[in-house]
Amino acid sequence: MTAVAERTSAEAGPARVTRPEPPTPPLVNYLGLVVVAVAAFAFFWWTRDDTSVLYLPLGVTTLWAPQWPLIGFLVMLAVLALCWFTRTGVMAAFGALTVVIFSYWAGSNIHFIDRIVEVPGRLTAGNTREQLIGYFNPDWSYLLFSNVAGTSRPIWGEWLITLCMAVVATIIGCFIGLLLAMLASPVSSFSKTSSQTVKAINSVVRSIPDVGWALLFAAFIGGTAYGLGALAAVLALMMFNIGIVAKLLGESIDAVDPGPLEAADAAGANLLQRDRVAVLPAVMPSFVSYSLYVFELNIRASAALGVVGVAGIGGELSRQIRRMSQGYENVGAILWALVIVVLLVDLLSMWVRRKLL
Amino acid sequence: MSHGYKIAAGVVAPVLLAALGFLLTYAPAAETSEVFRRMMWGLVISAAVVAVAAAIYGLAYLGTSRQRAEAQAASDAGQSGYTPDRLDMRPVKPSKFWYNMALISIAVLFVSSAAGTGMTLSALLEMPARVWDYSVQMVGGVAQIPDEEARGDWANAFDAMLESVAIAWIGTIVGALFSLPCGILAARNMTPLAIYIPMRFILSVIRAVPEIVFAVAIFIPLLGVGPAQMGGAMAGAFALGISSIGTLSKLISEAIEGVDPGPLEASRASGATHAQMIRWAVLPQVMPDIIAIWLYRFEVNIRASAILGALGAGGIGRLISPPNGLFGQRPYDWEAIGITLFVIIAITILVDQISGFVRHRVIHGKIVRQKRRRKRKNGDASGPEGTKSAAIPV
Repeated sequence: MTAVAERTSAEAGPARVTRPEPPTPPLVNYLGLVVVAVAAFAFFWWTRDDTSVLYLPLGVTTLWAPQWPLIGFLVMLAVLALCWFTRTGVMAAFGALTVVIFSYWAGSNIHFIDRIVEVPGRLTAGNTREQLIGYFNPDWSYLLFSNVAGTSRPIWGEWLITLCMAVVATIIGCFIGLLLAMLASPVSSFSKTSSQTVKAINSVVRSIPDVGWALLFAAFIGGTAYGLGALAAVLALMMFNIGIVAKLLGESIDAVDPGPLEAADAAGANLLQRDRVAVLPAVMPSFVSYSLYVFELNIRASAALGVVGVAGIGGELSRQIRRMSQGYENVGAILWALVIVVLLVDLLSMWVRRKLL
Repeated sequence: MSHGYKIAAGVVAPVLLAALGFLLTYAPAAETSEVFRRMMWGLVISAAVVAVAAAIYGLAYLGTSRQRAEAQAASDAGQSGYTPDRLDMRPVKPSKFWYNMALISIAVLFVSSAAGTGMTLSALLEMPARVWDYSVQMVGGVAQIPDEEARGDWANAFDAMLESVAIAWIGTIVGALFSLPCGILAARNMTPLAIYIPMRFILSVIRAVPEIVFAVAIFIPLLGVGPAQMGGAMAGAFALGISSIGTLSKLISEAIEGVDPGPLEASRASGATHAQMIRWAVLPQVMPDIIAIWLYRFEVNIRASAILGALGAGGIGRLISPPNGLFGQRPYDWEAIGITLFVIIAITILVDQISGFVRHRVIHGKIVRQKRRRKRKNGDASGPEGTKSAAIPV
C-alpha cells in the first residue's frame, strides 16, 4: 500500500467536487424569444399556401392548426428548449431562432418540401433519366467540328472569344479596380469624403449582378449583334471586376503597415508619391493574387453571360438547352468542356501564383 | 546577361512571335474561325510594335556606345575628379528584365485578345446619349408616384428579389450543413493523411466545377425548371449550395488549421475522444470565424443566383433576362427596369449591411467600431482587436 492510497482510504470517500455551473440565462429574455416564435408562427399561418391541417387530440377537445406552420413552430420551440437546457446565452439563442425562422420562410418561398418529395418519381419516370444519360455521354465531335447553327462560326471559336473577353475584361477591370481601391481606402485617398463617396458608388456597382450589367450594356449599346455583343460582355465583366477588386483591395489597403506611410509623410511626399512608394508595393502581391482570382471568376462568368444574348459560349449553351431532347449530348459536351477549361485555368493561375508570390 | 544581349533578345523574340502569328493566319483554323484570324492579326501587329520599339532602343544604345566607352575610361582613369570608392557602393539594383518582359507579354496578350473579341468600339461613341436618355427614364420610373402598372412592377421586383434571397439562404444552409464536416475532414490537424488527401481532392474538384454546370446538368433535371412552383428556385438553391461546399470547406479547414493547439493538447491529456476534442476544443475557437464565412457566402450567393435565374432557375435572373423577362421586351420598359434595378440594389445593400453587422458582432463581440478606434487613439491597446484574423474580410 502506498501512502497515497492510505490517505484516500482514510478520508471517507473522495470529497464531492463542485464545479462552477454556467449561469442560467435570464428567463424573461427567453420568454421574449418564445413571443418572437409565436409571432413567426402567426405570420406563417397567415401566409401559408397549402391548407392541410394537423389535429391535436387533447382528450377534452381537439385543437387544430395548419400542418407546416405548426411543425415549424414546434421546431422553433425545440430549438429554444435545447438552448435553455444547454444554458446558451440569449443572443446565441436568438440567432438560432432567427436561422430557423428564416429557413422556414425561404423553404416555403421556394416550395422545398413539394419539390423534394417529387425527386424519386422524377428519377424513375419522365425524361430526367434521358437528360442525365445525355449529359454524361457528351458528343465530342459536335464540340470540335460543328458550327453555330445558321452561321459559319465553329464552336471552338466561341470558346476562343469567351477566353478573349475574359482576358480583356480582367486586364482593364483590374487596373480600374486598383485606382478605385486607392480612392476607396481612407489610407490612400484624398479625403474622408472622397473615400466614402467611392465606397458608396462601389457598393452600388457591386450589388448589380453580372447578368444585369450584361443586359444593361447590351441595351445601352443598342443591340446584341456579333461585335456589339462582345463589347457589351466585356463592359459587363469589367464592371463586375471593378466591384470585386475595389472591395477586396480596398480592404487590404486599409490594413497596410503604417510604418512606410509615416516614413513617406515624414520625407515630405505628397499624396501621389506616398501612394506610389508606400501603398502600392505593399498591396502588389494581393493585387496580383486578386487579379488571378478575378480571371478565374471571369472565365466562369463569361461562359455563362452568353445565356442572356451577348457573345460567348453561353449563347450556344442556351440554344442547345432549348432544343430539348435533341441537344442533351451537345449540352453535356459544352458543360464538360467548361469544367475542363476552368480546371486548366485554375492550374495555370496556381502555377503563376507559385512563380510570383 | 549583359545589356546588349537583352536588347537583342527583346528584338528577336517579338519578331519571331510576329512571324509565327503571320504564318498562323494562313492556318486552316484561321479559315474556319474569324476569331482566331483576328487574334493572330492582333498578335502580329502588337509583336511588331514591340519589336520596332526594342529596335529603336537598341539603335540608340548602339549609337551611344562610343560615348559610354569614353565615360567609362575617364571614370576608370580618375579624370572626372571623383572616383567612387567602397564606401560609396550601393547595392546593385535588381534586374527588372523578366518583370518588364512579363508586362510586355501581358500587353501583347491584351492586344491580341482585344482583336479576337472583335469589339466594335465605335458603338461607344453613341453610348453616352443613350445612357443619359435611359437613365432619365429609369430614375423617372423610380421617382414617380406609383400608378397601377408601376405598383405591379414594384411587387414583381420585390417578389423576385425575395425569392433570390430565399434561394441564396437555402443554398447557404445546404452548403453549411455539408461544409462543416468536410472542413473538419480536410483540416490537417484533425484527420489522418488517408482521409485528408482524398478529401482535399474532392473539394478541389467541386471548386473547379462552375455552378451553372451543377444547375443545368444535375439539379434542373432533378428538381424542375421555371418559376418557384415548378421547382426552378429549388434547382438554383441546390446548385449554389453544392458548389459553395468547395470554397466553404477550404476556408473552414484553413480556420481549423490555425487554431491554438493548447486546448487540443489539454483535452487530449484529460482523455477526451476525438469527437469530444472537436466539440470542446476546436469548435469554440473557430465557430465565430465559421459563422462569418457562412454569412459571407450568403452575400456571394445572392449575386450568383442571378445568373442561374437566366438559365431557368428562379429568382431575379428570371425576372430580368430574355426571352420572357424585362430585357426581352421591345421596346424596353425602362421604368420597370429602373424599379427592378432599384429593388435589386436596395435589397442587396441591405442584406450586406445586416450580414456585415452580424459578422462583426460575431467576431469582435459587443463593441461598436467607433469606440474601439477612440480607445486605440487614447493609447489603450488592450482591446480585443488584432487578436484574431478571419479568413475573409470582416
